Amino acid sequence: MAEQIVTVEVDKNGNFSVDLAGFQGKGCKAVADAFQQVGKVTKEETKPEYYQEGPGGHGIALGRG
Amino acid sequence: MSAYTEQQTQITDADILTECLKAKGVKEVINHDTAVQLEGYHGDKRKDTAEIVIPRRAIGGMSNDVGFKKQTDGTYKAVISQYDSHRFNAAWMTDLKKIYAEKKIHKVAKKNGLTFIGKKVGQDGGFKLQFVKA
Repeated sequence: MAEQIVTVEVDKNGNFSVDLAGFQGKGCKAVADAFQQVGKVTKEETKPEYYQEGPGGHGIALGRG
Repeated sequence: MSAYTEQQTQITDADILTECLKAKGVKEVINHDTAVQLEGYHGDKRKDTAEIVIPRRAIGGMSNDVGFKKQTDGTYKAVISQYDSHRFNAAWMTDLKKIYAEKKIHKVAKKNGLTFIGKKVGQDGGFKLQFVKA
């Protein structure tokens, strides 16, 4: 299983981006949702892994991730 | 990569905001449960209210209280008089926002089982934080 890395880049204005690497399915959504406590999402991109089943998952995960 | 988001930092955590103000060198910050009237430089009560207050005695000179007022959406908005806006200006607020973002990101990461790997500071005033899922 690939290492799950989160890279958060805070820009000069204090806003930020979150890049999730190696996450799949529901685990990805949970981490992405958690960072909404820091700020409002203005742009969002999902990747194919988002629709893959994570460990212990059942079926295709829905939502961000 | 499995997901990428861009987000606008929103100051909603009173405890972290208080920590950030102290990190910015503010000597005294009072965190009230409910909004109180701010004091003017004469000791007069102003119509502006705020939950988080930097008392004028901690600012000095002819300053008024500086406050952070909780909005209906849960975010805090700075209440700064025109006189004090020279010190507590846009650059000061941006720096506060960056410190807040960093502290809150660490708090959220820790709560979600992420382990901090490192920080890289950029030349443009931004920085990058990296975490790994344990």
